[in-house]
Amino acid sequence: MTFAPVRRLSPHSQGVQPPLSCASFPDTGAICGLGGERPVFHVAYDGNFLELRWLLKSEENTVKLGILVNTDRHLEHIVGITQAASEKGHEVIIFSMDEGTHLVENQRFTDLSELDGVSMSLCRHSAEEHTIDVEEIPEGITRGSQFNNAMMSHEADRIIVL
Amino acid sequence: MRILHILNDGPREDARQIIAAHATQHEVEVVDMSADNISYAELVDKIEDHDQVICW
Amino acid sequence: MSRKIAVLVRERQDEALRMSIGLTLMDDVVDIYVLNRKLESTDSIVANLETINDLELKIYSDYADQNYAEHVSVDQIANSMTDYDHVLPY
Repeated sequence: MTFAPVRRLSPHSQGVQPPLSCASFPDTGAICGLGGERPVFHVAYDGNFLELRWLLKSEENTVKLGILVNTDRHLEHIVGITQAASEKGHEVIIFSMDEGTHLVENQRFTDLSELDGVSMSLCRHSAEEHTIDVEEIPEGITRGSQFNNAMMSHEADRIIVL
Repeated sequence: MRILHILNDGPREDARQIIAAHATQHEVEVVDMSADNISYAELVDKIEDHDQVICW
Repeated sequence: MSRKIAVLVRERQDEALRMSIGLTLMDDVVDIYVLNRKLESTDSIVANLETINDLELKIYSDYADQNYAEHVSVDQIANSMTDYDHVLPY
């Protein structure tokens, strides 16, 4: 049996809660600790070494990507990046303001709100300034304010501006 | 530090100055979105992998 | 934990300043950099600057003749960018 390189880390220092239960796998000798339904560590013994590997949030390789849409010139890039990020399991937060609110009149843009892990909002003030009929905006898109932008900036790991 | 500069509308002077300054002290990569054949999957990986992303 | 956000003001000054004010709503640190241009004196920009002053947000610029901003060089702006979680050119 071969093992991946081991990192011996304190779960508490990394913000991982102690597991609530364990599941063993006799055919491989591995034990998986569960936090709720999510595995939080693996243990395996090869006859010589006991190996413990905590699964950290960072190891899940997901990021929260914020997209600030302040122009209506980059729809192709917004769609491409959002679809690619969603397919990789990343969370995407899209906030439109200024000229970017024009894109809510395009179904290719509004359809992004139906992708896994994608949430969308816009600045209602901007939309009204740009004579967008906010009542026609699909339900999945929040008619919000700059507070939604502040929340996106507060929560996102990376923000791109398009 | 690894910094990714994304040029939305091709090169701009204000971006060029900041990128040039960053390049003297940091690992810098530039993606020009006005180029053809953008791989969005690769771009998302780059956004994830870099410490900072700046879109011009 | 609060975030540090830099807004780089370019052509659309009014919206960049309005957004900067809004970004403070989650108690994050917001600094404003006006890149190589003078801030215009429209009513809305002046009103936003008053709010920015009330909120004690810092404004920097590499443009020398700027009433509202602390003068810094382009290299200083570039160096300071790495201190921020998000840099948002507008």
